[in-house]
Amino acid sequence: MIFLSMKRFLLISGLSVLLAVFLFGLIGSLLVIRKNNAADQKLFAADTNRKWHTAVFLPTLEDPFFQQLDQGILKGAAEYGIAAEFQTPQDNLTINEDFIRFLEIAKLSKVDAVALYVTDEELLTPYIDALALNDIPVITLESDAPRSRRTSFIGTNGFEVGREVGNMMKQAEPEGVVGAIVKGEHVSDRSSKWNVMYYGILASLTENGGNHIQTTMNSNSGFLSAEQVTRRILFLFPKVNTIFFTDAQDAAVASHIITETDQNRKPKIISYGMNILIEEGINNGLVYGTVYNDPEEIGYKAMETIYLLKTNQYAPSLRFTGIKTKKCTDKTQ
Amino acid sequence: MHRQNTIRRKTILFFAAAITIVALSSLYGLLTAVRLQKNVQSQYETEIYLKNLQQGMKAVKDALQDFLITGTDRDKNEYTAAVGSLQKAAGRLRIISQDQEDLMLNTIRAMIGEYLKQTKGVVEGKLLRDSVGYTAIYTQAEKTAAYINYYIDKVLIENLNIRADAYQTFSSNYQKIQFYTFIMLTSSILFTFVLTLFFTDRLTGPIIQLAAQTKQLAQGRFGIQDIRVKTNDEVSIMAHAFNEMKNNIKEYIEELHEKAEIEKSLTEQKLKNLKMQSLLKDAEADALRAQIDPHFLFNTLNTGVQLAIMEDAERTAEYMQNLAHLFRHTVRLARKRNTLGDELEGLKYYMYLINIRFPGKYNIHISVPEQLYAMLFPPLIFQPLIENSILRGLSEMEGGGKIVLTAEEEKERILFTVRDNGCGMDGETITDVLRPMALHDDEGSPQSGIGLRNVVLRLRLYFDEAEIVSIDGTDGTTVRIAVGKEKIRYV
Repeated sequence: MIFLSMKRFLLISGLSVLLAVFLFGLIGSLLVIRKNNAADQKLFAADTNRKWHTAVFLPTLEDPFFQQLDQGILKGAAEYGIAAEFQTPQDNLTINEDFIRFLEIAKLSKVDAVALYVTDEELLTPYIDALALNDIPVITLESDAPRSRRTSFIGTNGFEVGREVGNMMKQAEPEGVVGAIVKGEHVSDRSSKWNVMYYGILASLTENGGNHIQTTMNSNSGFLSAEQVTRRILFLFPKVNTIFFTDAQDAAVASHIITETDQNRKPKIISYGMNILIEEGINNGLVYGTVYNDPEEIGYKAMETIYLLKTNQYAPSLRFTGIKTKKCTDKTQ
Repeated sequence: MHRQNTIRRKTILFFAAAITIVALSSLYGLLTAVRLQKNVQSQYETEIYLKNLQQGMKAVKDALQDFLITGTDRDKNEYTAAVGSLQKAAGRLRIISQDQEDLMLNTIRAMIGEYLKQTKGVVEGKLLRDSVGYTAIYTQAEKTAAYINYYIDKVLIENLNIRADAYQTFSSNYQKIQFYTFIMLTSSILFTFVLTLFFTDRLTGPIIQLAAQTKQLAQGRFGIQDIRVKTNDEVSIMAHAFNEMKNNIKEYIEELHEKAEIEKSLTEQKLKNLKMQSLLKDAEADALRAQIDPHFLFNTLNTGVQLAIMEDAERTAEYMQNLAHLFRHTVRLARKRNTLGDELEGLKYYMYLINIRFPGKYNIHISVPEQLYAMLFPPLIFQPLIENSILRGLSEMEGGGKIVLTAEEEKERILFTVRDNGCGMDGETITDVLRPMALHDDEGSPQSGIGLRNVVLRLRLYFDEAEIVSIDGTDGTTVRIAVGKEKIRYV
C-alpha cells in the first residue's frame, strides 16, 4: 500500500513538475511574443488622429534647447491634431544646404505648415517666401526671419532678452562692465534676433556710464571652440570682467576653464539658456547667472499657432514667450 | 447503461492524447517562429516599398527619356505604363500619424505626385514641340527626382538604424523563444513519456498480477488475496472472473476438508465403539466364565464354610466366607451400575484374603471420602492395581510392603492415587502401558501386566479421557487417576 502511495506520489509530483516547466515555457514565450508585438506596434502603429502634416526643421536635436523645443512641439502637436515631421541636418557643415533642401521638399510635398529655427536669415528668406507663395504657412521658432514672408514668429523678444542680459552684467560688475560676447554656433551674424538682442544689451549697459562691450567672438564649432575662445579672451582682453555666452553649453565649458585658470582675474559668466550644467554652475557659483526662455512653451505655441491658422485662417505674426533669469546670488538672497 | 472502457478505446485515446500534446507543442513552436518571421518580414515592408518606388521612378525616367529622344507613341505608351506602375506602387496619400516613417513616406508620395505632374508637363511640352518649355520642366523634374531619391535614402538610412536596434531585439527575442519552445517541447515529451509509463503500468499491471495469481493458484495456494483492479475494462472483467473462480474453488476445497474431518472423526468414533464393544465382549466372556465358575466355587465354598463350622474351624470358615463374598461381588458387578462404594466393598474382601494369604507382609491403607462413594465408577479398577503392586513391586520384598489408596477432591478433578513402596516401574513398561489405544490393541505385554493395561483402557473409554491415567515408577510405583469433575456422574 505504502509502495503504491509512493508510486502515485512520485507520478503526480513528476507530472506536476513537468507541467510547471511546460507552463513556464508557455508563459515565457507568450511574454516574449507580447513584448515583441508591443515593440512591433511601437514601430509600425502610431495614432492616426492627426489632421495636418507639419514639417519641423531644427539645426540639431542634441542641444538641450532644441530637445526641449522638440518636446514642446510634440506636446502641442498631440493636443492640436498635428503630425510633426522633424528634420535635422546630418552634418553641421551642411546645415543651411540641408535646410534649403528641406524647404524645397516641403514645397514639393505641399505640407500643411513648416516650422523652423532660422539658422541663416538671409539665405533662407527666399525659400521661406517660396513656401508662403505656395500657401504653406511658415512659423519661425525663437530665431526669426522678419524680412521674409513667414507667417508667425514664436519666441522671446530679442531686445528684452538683451536688456535682461545687460542688466545681469551690470549686477555682476556694478563697478563697471567690461564685457565680452561669445556667439554660439547657431547664431548667425546676420541674424535679426541676434542684432536686436545685441542692441538690447547695449541699451542696458549704456543706461549707466562705465560699461561697455570690449569684444564679440564666435564659437562656431560648438563647445570645443568655446574653450579656445574663452582662453583667447582671457589672454587678449585682460580687462574683461564679464563674458556673455549666447549658448548655454559654451557658458558651462567656459566656467570650468575660468575656474581652472591661475589668473587672479576671473570674469563673471553669464549665459543665455538653461541646462543642467548651467544650473549646477549657478548653484556652485561658477556661473554668475543666466537669462533663459522656455523652449517647450515656444514649441507648444508654434503648434497652437498652426492650429489657429488652419482653423481660423489667422494667427498673430509675433508671439513672444516669457523671459526668465537665474543668478548665483538668488540662492543667497 | 454503464459504458465500459475497452482496452482498445483506452489505447486509442491515450495515443491520441500523447500525439496531441507533442503535436500542439511542436505546432506552437512553429507558429511562434512563423509569427516572429512575419514580424521581421513586416519590418522590411518599407524597404521593399521604397525599392519598388525607386525602380518605378527609374522606369518613368527611362521611358520619359526614350520618348523625348524618339517621340514615338510606343515610348509614350511605355511612359504612361511606367507612370501607372509608379502611381500604383506609391499608392495614395495616407492618413497622417505622428510616426516619423509614415510622415516621410507621405512626403515621398506627395513628391512623386508632383514629379509625375512635372513629367506630364514635359511630355505635353514635347508633344507641343515647346523644347524650351519642356526642357525647363524636365530640369525641375530631375531636381524633384533627386529630392525624392534623397528622401528615400534618408528614410532607408534612418530605418537602418531603427532596424539594427529592432534586429537586436528580435534576435534576443528569437533566442528566448527558441529556449522556451525547447523547454515546452522537452517537458511535453517527458510528460508524454511519463504518461506512457503510467498507462503501460496501469494496463499491464493487472495482467501481470493476474498471471502471478494464476501461477500461485495453479500451485494450490487458494489463500491468496483477491486481485483488485480499478480499471473498467476487459482486464477488470478477467480479474473479477478470476477472483470468483478462485473463491469458488477455495470454498469447494474447504467443504471437502470439512467432510474429510467429519469422516475422520466418525471413523475414530467407530473405532472407539468397536474397541468398547470388544472390551465389553471380553468382559461379558469373563463374566460368563465367572458365572459358571463362581457358582460352582460359591456353592463349593459354602459347603466348605458349613464343613468348617461343623468342625469348629472358625477362621477357615471366615476366610472361605470372604472368598465367597469376593466371588459373589465380582459376579454381581458385571450386572449392574457400579459405584465407587461397590468398588471399595469388593476391595475390602480382597484385602482380607491378601492379609490371610500374606499375613503382615503388606500394609494396605485406603483413604477415600465417603461423599464420593455414590459416584459411578468402572468395576475392578483398584483391585488389579493393588494386585499389580503386590505381584510386580512388592513380591520381592521380605516384608514392609505398603500400598496406599487415596482419593482427593481438587478444584476441577478428583485424584485417585495408588502408591506402593516397591521396586517401581521402568519407563519402557510405563510407556507400553500408557500407549494410545489402537484398533487391534492387545491388553499389554506380559511384562507390563495385562490387568494394568486393561484398567488404563477401560478408564479411558469410560471417562473418554486419554490422559486419565499417569504412572510414576521412580520411587515405588504411583498410579494416578485424575477424573474431571465434569465427567463424574452420581447414582
